[in-house]
Amino acid sequence: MLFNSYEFIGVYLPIVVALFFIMARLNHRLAAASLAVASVAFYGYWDVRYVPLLLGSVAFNYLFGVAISRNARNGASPATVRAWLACGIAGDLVLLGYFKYFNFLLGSAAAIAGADWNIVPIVLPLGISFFTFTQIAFLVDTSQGKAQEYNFVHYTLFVTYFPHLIAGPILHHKEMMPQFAKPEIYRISLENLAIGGTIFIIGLFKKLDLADGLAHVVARVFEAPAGTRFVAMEAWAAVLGYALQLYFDFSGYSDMAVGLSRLFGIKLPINFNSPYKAANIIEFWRCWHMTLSRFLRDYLYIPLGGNRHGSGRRYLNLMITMALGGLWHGAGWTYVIWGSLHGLYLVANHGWQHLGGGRILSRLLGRLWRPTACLLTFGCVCVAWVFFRAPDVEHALDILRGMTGINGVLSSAMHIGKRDTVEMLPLLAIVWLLPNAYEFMARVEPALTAGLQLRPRRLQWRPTVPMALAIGVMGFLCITLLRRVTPFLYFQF
Amino acid sequence: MSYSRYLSVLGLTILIPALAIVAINYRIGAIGWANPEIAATAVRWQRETHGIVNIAVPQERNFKFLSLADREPGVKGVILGASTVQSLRGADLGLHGVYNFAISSNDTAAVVTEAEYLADAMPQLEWMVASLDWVLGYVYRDEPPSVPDKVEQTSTISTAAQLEDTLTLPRVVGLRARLVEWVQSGAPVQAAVQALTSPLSGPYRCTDGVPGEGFAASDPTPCAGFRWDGTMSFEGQQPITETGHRLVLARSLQQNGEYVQSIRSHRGMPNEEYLRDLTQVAATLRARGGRMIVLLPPLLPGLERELLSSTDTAEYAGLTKRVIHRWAADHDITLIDAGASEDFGCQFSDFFDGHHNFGGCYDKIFTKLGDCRAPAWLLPPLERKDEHGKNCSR
Repeated sequence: MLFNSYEFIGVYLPIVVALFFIMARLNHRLAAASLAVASVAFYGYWDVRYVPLLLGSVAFNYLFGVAISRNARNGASPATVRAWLACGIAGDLVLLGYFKYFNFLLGSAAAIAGADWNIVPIVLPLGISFFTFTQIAFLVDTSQGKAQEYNFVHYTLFVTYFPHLIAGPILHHKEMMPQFAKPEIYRISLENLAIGGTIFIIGLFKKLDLADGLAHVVARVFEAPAGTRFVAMEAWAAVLGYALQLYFDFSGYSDMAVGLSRLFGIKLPINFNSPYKAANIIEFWRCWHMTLSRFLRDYLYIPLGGNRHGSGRRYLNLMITMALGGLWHGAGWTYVIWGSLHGLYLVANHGWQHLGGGRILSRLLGRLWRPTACLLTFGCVCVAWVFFRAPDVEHALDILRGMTGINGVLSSAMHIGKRDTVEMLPLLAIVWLLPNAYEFMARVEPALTAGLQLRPRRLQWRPTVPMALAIGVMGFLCITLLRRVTPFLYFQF
Repeated sequence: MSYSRYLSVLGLTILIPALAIVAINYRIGAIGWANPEIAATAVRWQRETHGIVNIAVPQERNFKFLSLADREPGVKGVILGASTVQSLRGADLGLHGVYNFAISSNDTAAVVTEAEYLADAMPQLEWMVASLDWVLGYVYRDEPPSVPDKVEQTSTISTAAQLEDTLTLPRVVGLRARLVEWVQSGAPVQAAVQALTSPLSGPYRCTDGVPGEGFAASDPTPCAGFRWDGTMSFEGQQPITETGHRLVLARSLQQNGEYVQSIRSHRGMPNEEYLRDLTQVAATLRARGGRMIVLLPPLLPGLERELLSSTDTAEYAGLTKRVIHRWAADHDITLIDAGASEDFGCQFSDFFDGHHNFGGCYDKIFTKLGDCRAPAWLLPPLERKDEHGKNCSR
């Protein structure tokens, strides 16, 4: 079941919201349990065969979490705690590795050996990367004494909670469990319904009205046969289109998740903060898929040593983190290249900052510095997106060749017409000139911002009639597009 | 402002227009495209005028069945298939008494069912043209042909399906166009009442003097619709330009393109049940002294060659053609393989997309076949040679 479907909006959501608040009048634990059951049903709607896998993963991690916590509290040696932690994480990685990477490794081995092995396809359970990472974080937090509450119903709800189950945001135990324990979330609140409903509609609008319209335009280039000679205009238009499609699709999904959760009074962490306005790659990764960046920083980069062992080691750690981050997105060399490219960007960015290049250029360019840096960053991100979207490296290189202008700039028979390209300009304007959903609603703090200072802009949400009319019109437009159900791009990860 | 007021305004802003659109579109659908009576009305009108009927797509099947029943005693042959053969005329084949029964999006399962039903229901029927649209994937599908029972002329569309359809983007956009029309008419209320009480567009004359009328038309382009012989006029469609030709060829080879996905769907293997059932119908027609002709419809010049050489499709497209050719040869069925339309002199301007031609291409195909023209070539066609000594079947 997708958030952008009649079944979800018209049937599932009203029933679950009503059920939760009815149950809450009887018993808070019952309400939380009903929400957990509804979340598992939401997952089972996609493929009921994977429900035992999800529940098994939840039970496994819960038991390991309790064991780690008990050992730590009972004064067991750090080695014992680490052993429990290692076993738990290994179990998670085996599960993820089997479903997501086994065939990739087998295929790569076959390619190296020149063998023609018959590799049986393995269906990737929906959201496995997200619920596995969420639980790895839980185990690590438990071993460090950061996770305090071990209520099984709340834990199950924390992992399976339907707004984030399929495509994130990746949650921290410590930011969710206290919320489940708050009595006020079990009371229906018109404020929460208004705020949650508004963000949900904004997300739906981004997905249906902005992202989906770009899909077929982008596919014309990215799905073209290998060896196609693209001219610069069509190659850049396709990459620009994909950059916009992915942003509106994934940030739209994240907004919907935040909005849905807010209906229940529960705040999820913000996942996007206008990443294309970033003036360098470091800033970009602080604003793009923020909960994944946080996870990679806390559970990979810092344990690898972070910046504690000199510049060389720091750059190596960055490269390893980003390459693995790329691999997390999918079992394919294109993702590894994409991640590594971002690793290189980050290394270059840190090196540049170390040399003080930014300060010199900002003095030279004055007020033009920020827009120039922003454009340059966006261009670099777009180049990397080529590998992220292309079906294989060969296709990606075809497109990159086209982007250099080696095959010419314009042609009379382009895969993407000039009109399609011009139609992307308003979307770029939205990305660069308008406040994002969280800045727009900063006054009512719709999500967990993790210390991020979101500046309220002039265009600010308030529960007024004009605002209700504007959001209502957006909601109505979305309804007319609901029949064209398309999955979210990040579901595949 | 209170949150309750905000939520009320927000909810009403979504619900009021949505419900209004559902109501109006449901009404328009109920009296129009979902109304089984509309086909009978169109048939009666065409009987009187011999004009062009522009009818809603969901009513095409009803219309064609009723029209065929209306002309039945004089009909000796039918053309079965999808919109790709809707421009093929009996005159192209050199025959009289031909009705073009092709229906939009008719897959091969439906064609087989219709062939069996019509062969059984019309004892005077001597020959058929059955189109096999392989590039659209119709020949590969898994659905078995329906039991050719007494196919009732009227099919109905469920209320749930009608309601679901009311809020789709095309219907909402269509309603907006209607509202503009009503306002521009000068008497908007009268125009709206007329539209909500009658699905007819009102009669008009086409440039060649033939009358036309819209019957809850999906595409209101005047003079686009079915002629008396069942062929489609394709009025309003634009011929492909030279640039468009290159673009269509390039896009048709994309991995996510319609043709590539269709051909790859079943690894190029046609559903053998379809071919087996068509063989039986062919035998029935042969026993009557008639003939089954299988047509692989013409494609945009160059398209078939591209599909037969592209790494994504070559293997499967080649297999499809080999299987169909072998089947036709084994069962003495006349096969006209017009896929490489450029071999018959067709040009890109004869087409308005990759697989639809205005009819000019069919004219060229059968002119090229020259001496093979019906009726003589149909009986028996395979032994006949044209002036260059070529077989009539390719």
